[in-house]
Amino acid sequence: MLLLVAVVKNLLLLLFTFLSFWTFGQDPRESEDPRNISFKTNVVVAPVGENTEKEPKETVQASLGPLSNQEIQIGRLTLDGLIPLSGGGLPPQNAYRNGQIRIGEVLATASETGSENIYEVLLFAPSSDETGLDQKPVRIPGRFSLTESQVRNLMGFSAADQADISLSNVVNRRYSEEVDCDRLAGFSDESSYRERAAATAQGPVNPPLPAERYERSTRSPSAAAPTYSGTDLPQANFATGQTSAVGDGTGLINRRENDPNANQETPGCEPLAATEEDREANPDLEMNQENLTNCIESIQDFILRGVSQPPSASDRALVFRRLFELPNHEQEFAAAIFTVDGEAGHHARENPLEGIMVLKVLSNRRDNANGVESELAACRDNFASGPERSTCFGEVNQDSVFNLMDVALDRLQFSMYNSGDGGNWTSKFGHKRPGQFEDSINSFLNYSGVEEFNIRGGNSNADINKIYHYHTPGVNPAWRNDNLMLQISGTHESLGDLAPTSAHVFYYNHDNAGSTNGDGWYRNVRHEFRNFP
Amino acid sequence: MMKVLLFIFLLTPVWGKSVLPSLEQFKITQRANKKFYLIKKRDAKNVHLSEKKEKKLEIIELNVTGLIAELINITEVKGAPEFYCVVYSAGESGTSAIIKEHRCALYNSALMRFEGDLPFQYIPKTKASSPLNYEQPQYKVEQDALKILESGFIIKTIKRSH
Repeated sequence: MLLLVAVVKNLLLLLFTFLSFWTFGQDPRESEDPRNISFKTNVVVAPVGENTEKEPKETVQASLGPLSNQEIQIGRLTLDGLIPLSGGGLPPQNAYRNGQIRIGEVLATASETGSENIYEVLLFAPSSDETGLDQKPVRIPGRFSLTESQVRNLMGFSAADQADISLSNVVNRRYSEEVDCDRLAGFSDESSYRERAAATAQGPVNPPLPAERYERSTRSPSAAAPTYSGTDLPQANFATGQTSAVGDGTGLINRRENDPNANQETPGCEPLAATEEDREANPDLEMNQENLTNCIESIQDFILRGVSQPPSASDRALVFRRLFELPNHEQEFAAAIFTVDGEAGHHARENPLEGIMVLKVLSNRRDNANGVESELAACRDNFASGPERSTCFGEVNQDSVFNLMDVALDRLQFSMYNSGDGGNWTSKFGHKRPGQFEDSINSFLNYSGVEEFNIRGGNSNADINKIYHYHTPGVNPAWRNDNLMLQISGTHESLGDLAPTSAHVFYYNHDNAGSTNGDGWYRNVRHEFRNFP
Repeated sequence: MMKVLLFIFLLTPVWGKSVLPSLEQFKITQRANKKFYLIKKRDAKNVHLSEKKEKKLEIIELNVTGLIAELINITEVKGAPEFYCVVYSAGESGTSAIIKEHRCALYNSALMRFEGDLPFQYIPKTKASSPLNYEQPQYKVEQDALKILESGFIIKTIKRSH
């Protein structure tokens, strides 16, 4: 009887399988789809041009669970249940050994998961200062999750059970070891021995990263090869350290303290990097149309070398990757000039504010990606101008990683860089023509001269530093909202009254219809061409 | 004894290919900070036999533009049966050309974990265009790795577990 049931069941299973392949295996898109992926379900992709998006079905709200805000000592435990929220594998156990877990908000409630709450957790590795006594946890990059039962299990361990050897939560174990007399041979005293031991000891496996708003990409060894060949372009490095505002001095264009490309300054770009003192001493370093044209054209020569003009679509990765070989301040300058040219075009000539606002959105997005908007605002409030303000910007930005080029090339965001519809980079900066950047450079030179922005529409809680979005009036993204559209006008120290923008409509935070000033918006910047620090 | 062996034999899938899970096994949640997450629910109905042993609740953060993310379908990665894509609508972006983006939460059923949130398909939102004349992400299956490329550039390499 049992055998009969099994046979019938499996016959039905085979029949169902056959029908499934016969029905779904004929999807006509399978042969047309450019990717090597098969479609196995018969769900229809939304027709092009049709907005099928619906209103959210559920109200979302902040969710702190009973275990939120707790801290748990990890000790020697292995966190098998840990899940990185960006996917992939776990950090090695020695990265968090003797560290701690901080429990955050509930990412999914029991009703959403069908079983139990899932919590966001952050991991901290133990660390210490030079003396080995003052311990300060170091954040391990990435965000993770644990289920409520897993958190409770961890809390069930006593701290004493989890503790490693005495003082072991100081990563530098050697620093806490007892020192016998033999080891001190060759050292003048015990402290010099300890200093040497500390210097040679291994620190945390994962260095702290300043921003958690990007995902850690996995690169194959071939992707790091030192030559360019089709699919294995190596990534460029991020510059780090404090920034110093160059160019117009507003913080739009910045040098970085530790810039891997610092010694690759483009000939002709010296005025861009000069300080006010440099310019006073040497008038040839003045920031003017002629000097900046020389600079951007030299940059153009650099990125287009060996590439036909205009470049083909297949040159996109090569040309974009070369942009990141420039020093940080030149990357930011190129992003500013190219983006205004491709996004605002002749509108920047008709109304300088169109170009200036493109620069403003770029700048706002960079500061948002770096998570420093509020700190920079405090700098602006505390220091009207001058070196103090510049120093304040530099200190705030010392842990920042993203620059204007990162946000400009963030995929799909600024249409001019697209590899399909809207992409005009090949005919713009991909094709050298005399005077092509005149309007963009004017926008750049006039950027610092806006004395007042007037924002109309949306709401009255205006903050020009939190405008993150715009689109041309003729397009209809799902997030278009006529009630939230902003129109910008202004007064300029030399140009006088600036007419209201009309070639672009602007928004604060389209992700949050309830936001009145842009607060709460953030975006993962996709950095396809750069390594992490 | 023979009956038991025959019973086990007959219950063993004969086609040797992965069977995709039901879309109902996945759920998108959104928190107040507007971040979206995809959950692979535990003990859902229609779970494939190979996943019955799964004990964990899997979760991954999604990259969404705008207010809405919706599940679309689940697709196999041809040539790499241990992977499948949970495809979702990730919003629309652009300044002068609006592109609708479908993304893939890539699941590794061998390791029972999400491997990453990846681009899947770009759909220009103009009537004259179709996904076929817009450069699409490529999923390249190699012996030891699955590589995802954009503009001919590797954006993610995932080691395969055979």
